[in-house]
Amino acid sequence: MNWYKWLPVLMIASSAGPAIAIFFLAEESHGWRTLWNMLGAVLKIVLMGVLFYEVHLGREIAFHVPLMPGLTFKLHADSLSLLFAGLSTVLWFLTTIYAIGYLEHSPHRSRFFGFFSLCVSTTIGIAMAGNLITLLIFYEFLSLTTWPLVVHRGNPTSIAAGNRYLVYTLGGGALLLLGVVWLQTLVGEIDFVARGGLSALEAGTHNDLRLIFTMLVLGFGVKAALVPLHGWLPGAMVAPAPVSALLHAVAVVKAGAFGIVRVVYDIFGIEFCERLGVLEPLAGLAALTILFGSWRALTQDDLKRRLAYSTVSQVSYIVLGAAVFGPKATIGGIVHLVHQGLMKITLFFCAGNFAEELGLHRVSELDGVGRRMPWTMAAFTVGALGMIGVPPVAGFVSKWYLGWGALEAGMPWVIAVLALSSLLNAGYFLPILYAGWFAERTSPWPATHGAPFPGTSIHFPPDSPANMGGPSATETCANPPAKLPREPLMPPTRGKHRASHEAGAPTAIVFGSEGSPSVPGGLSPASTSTAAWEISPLLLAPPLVTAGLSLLAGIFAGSSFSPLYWARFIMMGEY
Amino acid sequence: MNHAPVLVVLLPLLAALTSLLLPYRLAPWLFSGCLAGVGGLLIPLYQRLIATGVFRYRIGGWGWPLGIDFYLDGTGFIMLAMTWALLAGIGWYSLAYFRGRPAAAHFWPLLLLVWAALDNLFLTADVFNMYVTLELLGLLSVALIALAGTSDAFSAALRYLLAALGGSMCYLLGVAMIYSASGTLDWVFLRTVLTEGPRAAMALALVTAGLMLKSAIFPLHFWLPRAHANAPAPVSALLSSLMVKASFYIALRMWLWIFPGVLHTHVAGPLLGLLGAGAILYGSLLALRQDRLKLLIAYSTVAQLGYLFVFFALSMHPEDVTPALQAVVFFALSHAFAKAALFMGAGVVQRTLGHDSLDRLAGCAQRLPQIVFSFGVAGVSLIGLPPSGGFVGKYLLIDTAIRERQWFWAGVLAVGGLLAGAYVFKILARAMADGLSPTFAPHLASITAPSHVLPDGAPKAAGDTFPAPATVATGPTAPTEGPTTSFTPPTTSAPDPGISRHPTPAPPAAAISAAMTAVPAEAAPPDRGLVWSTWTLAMTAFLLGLLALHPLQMIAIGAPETGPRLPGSEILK
Amino acid sequence: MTTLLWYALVGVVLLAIGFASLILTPGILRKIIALNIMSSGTFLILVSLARRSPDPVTQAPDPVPQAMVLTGIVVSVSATAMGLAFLLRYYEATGRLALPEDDLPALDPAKQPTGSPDGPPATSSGDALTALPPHAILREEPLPATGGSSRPTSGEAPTSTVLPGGRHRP
Repeated sequence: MNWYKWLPVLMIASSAGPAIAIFFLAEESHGWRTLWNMLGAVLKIVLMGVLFYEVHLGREIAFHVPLMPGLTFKLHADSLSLLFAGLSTVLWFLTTIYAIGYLEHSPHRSRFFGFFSLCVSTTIGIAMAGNLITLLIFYEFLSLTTWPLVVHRGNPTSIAAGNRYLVYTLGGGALLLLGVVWLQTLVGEIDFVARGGLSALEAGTHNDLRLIFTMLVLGFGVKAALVPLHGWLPGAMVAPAPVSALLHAVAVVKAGAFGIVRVVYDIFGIEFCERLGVLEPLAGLAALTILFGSWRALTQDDLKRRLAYSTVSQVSYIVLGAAVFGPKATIGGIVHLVHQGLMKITLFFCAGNFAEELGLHRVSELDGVGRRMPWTMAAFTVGALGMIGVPPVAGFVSKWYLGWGALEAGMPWVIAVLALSSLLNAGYFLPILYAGWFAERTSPWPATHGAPFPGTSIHFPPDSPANMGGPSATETCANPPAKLPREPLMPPTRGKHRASHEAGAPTAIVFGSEGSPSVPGGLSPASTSTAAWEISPLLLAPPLVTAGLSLLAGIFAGSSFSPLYWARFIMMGEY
Repeated sequence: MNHAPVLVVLLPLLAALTSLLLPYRLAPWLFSGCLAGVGGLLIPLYQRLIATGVFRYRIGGWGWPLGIDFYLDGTGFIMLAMTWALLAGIGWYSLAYFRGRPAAAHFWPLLLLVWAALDNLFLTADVFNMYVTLELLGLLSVALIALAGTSDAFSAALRYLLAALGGSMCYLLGVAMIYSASGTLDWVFLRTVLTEGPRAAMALALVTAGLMLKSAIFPLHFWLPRAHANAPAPVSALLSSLMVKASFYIALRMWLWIFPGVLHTHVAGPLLGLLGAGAILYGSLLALRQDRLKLLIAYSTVAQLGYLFVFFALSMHPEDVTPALQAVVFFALSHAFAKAALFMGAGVVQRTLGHDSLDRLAGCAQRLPQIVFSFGVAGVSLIGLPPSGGFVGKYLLIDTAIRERQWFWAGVLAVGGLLAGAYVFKILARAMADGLSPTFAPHLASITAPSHVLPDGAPKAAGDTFPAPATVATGPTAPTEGPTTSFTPPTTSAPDPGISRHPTPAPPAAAISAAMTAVPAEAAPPDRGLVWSTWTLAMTAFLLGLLALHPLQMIAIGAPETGPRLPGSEILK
Repeated sequence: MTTLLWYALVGVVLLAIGFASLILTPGILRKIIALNIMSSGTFLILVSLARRSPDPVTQAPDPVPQAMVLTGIVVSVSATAMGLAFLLRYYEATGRLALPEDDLPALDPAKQPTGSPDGPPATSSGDALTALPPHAILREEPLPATGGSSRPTSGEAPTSTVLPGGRHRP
């Protein structure tokens, strides 16, 4: 009785079930919602552990039901699935905690968490897909479940960003569908097998296969933010921070990259790809994306947009790793899937904390934040250093392997790309670190969640940049602070125009009217106690944990528990 | 049961006639009884189909060539089951929708008659019988549309009537040509006896032209949008999901079962496919330009019907046509559920918000979350995203297209999905937009844009009955309490000589607005029955892809083979 | 043989006339009549198909097309009846006898009926009241407490109608 074949289904159900339950919860039932969320997250971690154990024992875990005549819905747990699924599970757990803290007092939380959980089930489904049609199903479904999160706030910017997102993802999905159907008419059902199963096809179909490869890569590339299909990602940063953190930095873009990895390794097979000659253009595209993303990130002043372009650039490392023919590069690309996820989510958590606690959205506003929020800034530093590729943070490990693999494959230009990209990364991350740790703060914080120290009063010059479009100052004072929109509603300006926001918009949010020594009434006890912490522990712990994990993954890369070890294991199956 | 095929038709027919005699409050019970009865009858039909394959039933024992036979194959059964399921959903919805309204007195008998006609259509083996059912369906649809009672509804119904009669006339001519070319009217046998030649070609052309008019295929779609948009919500759901499929079903039978041996030209199929592609494009683009929700959905029907006709371009391949057939029938099935759910949701929106203007939908997601969710999942099926039924249908159609190296049609199908995405997410984006709560100010609406305040939105005080009782401004009285004989069909032909030449005008605007402002600004939440029935149909459309395997296998039973022409199959009675 | 041909030809001609009229003529009543003529044409063609030999004694005509014609006549009569009932209802509701897209423009632009079913209401001015004969249909005020028969109850705006050709048809 092989009960363990149900494990993949249970993994998906462990967040789909809570999602459905949460949809039916009333807006006010915080307790139940938190319960369902955490239940799902914990259950998923437990199941993940069981899965790892079973696979470690060598068991074959596959679940399939026939879907259409000639097509099967198949879930399996091979090593690559577990890598991605493990990453998603752990990060979901942390992001749930973060989201609960972040969205306190936000409207529509039931809707949010419902779709959030559905997104995670879909990501797990993508990870565990056993054949191309199942991957396609979950991939398209991911577009659907992420859209409500992008437009969560309901304001015109969000709706516009959501529309843009749809155009890109649905378009990519259509291309992907055509590619998948075409491939299946040529070879029938396509399971993911290590080394791919297409090498047996005769040479006459090779041109078709090249075309199919292109369609598949472009279809997956929309979500993986390959240039020029990346246009949706910066705009999607208008979503709340937990969404940007988990989904658009980790789950959605990784799903695209994962899809490309599957296509190259488990459908076509890396050696067959080399024979077809499609790897060089792919490597070129990935390199272009890496450089372009880093270049654009240099000029962004909005912090989240800068991180978005950094994501564009970094995810293409994975694609680059897939495109370079050689075991080391494969390892580098696959392990970067985990490392980049850990580091990028740290960065996004920290960015969310800056916005939440101090109203900081712009890089130019970050002067002196390290003194005010040292722990968050420390986590940010770890993440940034890892992005640049500084040892011992994990990012270094993946870049090292990528470079090494490129050398072995006889593509030295890749090393130049890697070096240039690291330089550019330094170019846009180091100024942030400098500003955060060493610069002196000259203007007050744009907004604070609570009075930083009891007894102070805060007021702002009328032209200071601040949250726009939030409830008016008096409202905020009178009621418990409703969650202000965290993201600026205006298109981000370039660094120079700090003070040029339109007059007349509500600019100053005054906590504690002038002169009143006490903390404004209505603030929850949690926020007054955050005077001891820099920010609520729910928001502080996740970035610290992920930063720590990035460090550990780098330091202990050689051990048998590291992502690197796992990536090596995967690589050995593919060559 | 040996007589199950004819009972499936007789039961709703008798129920319809009975419901005319009983008080209209009992009609829903009759309807539910019919649901149970027909559902029970479908089971032995299903079992027989699975066990032994296709079979015939001779009505009255006459048999071909004298009598009309019923013939059941997989496709027919799927259509019967689809009718049953959709009518269950629509009936549930109508229960709440027409509660307490005198229009219900007309609605239920008409609905039951529609059911009888549809069952007859899907079972019959006689092309002339199909003509009769087609006419019947047209007349019934017209009556149902007119239940809305507005002048828009009347003009739409009249337009539909004229178009329907014109189309049927064309079809009848085609049937005449068929008879003259073959000497039989039984479509199962026609394939073997139909002689090739100009008569057969003309017959096919005439039949197709007539059916195109009735299926609203571009460019003959002019009557559909306003007819579907101005009808009451359950009627719109019925029309868009079932009626249009009826004429498509006949076209399917004609092209796949009757005429394949006769078609030597390779132009006919692609021509229909081109018109279908034009319908997809045109319908989707016009849907995007609408500012009324129901009109958008109606134009979406025009577009989706184009998908069905693209199939004809793919079916000309001489090899096995079964996968394409499975694809298109399944596509029609999932579209029926999705479209019904959309119209039912639009009806709830109209009832709750008082309007169906897209520009004023902001905040709808908060007031009607389940309905907006239903819009979402039903829309997913229209776009063709997994795991919906639309995805399976679209996948199979594209698969067929690529196997035949028809890249153009594959591209058309893919692009069609994107266009559907555009208008589906237009609705969703408007509904999810935050900010202004829906402007529920019907008194303003009636002054500024009276045509947008449909009877669905009008509170009960103003009434939406057709015809309205004598006292206009008061609520709908219930004229049908008491013995059945007191229930006189309220007609204006009750002679009132003073007004025989002067129709009563509408009450003055003041009275209307007074009646409408009687409704508080925060209207009551919609009836749970309305919401749950909508949600159920939407989820069915959404999850249909997961349940696709068995229906697909069923469709294959009795699918036309391309080998030697089949004689008639096993005879049941 | 020629008799058969004549029947069929006449049928075709009737069909063509009816079809042309259906499409081209405004006025619903005319369209209904056109449909009837079309159906007559179709039935004639069908009847002509029933003939099996010139001599009815040796071989009776085929009954099937005749049965079809009979059924068709029944259907046609029912449809016509329904169409006429609808026309009456439509007229009482809107005062028009043609579909909105077929309405010819009124002589007086101020009294022009709306172009589309969803269009804005036509404004009616006071002088319209006096300019028209008594039995023209106006909407500004309700007829005093007459037996309200069917009419639409939505907020349908008042329209005044001058029927095509300037004639006032009841």
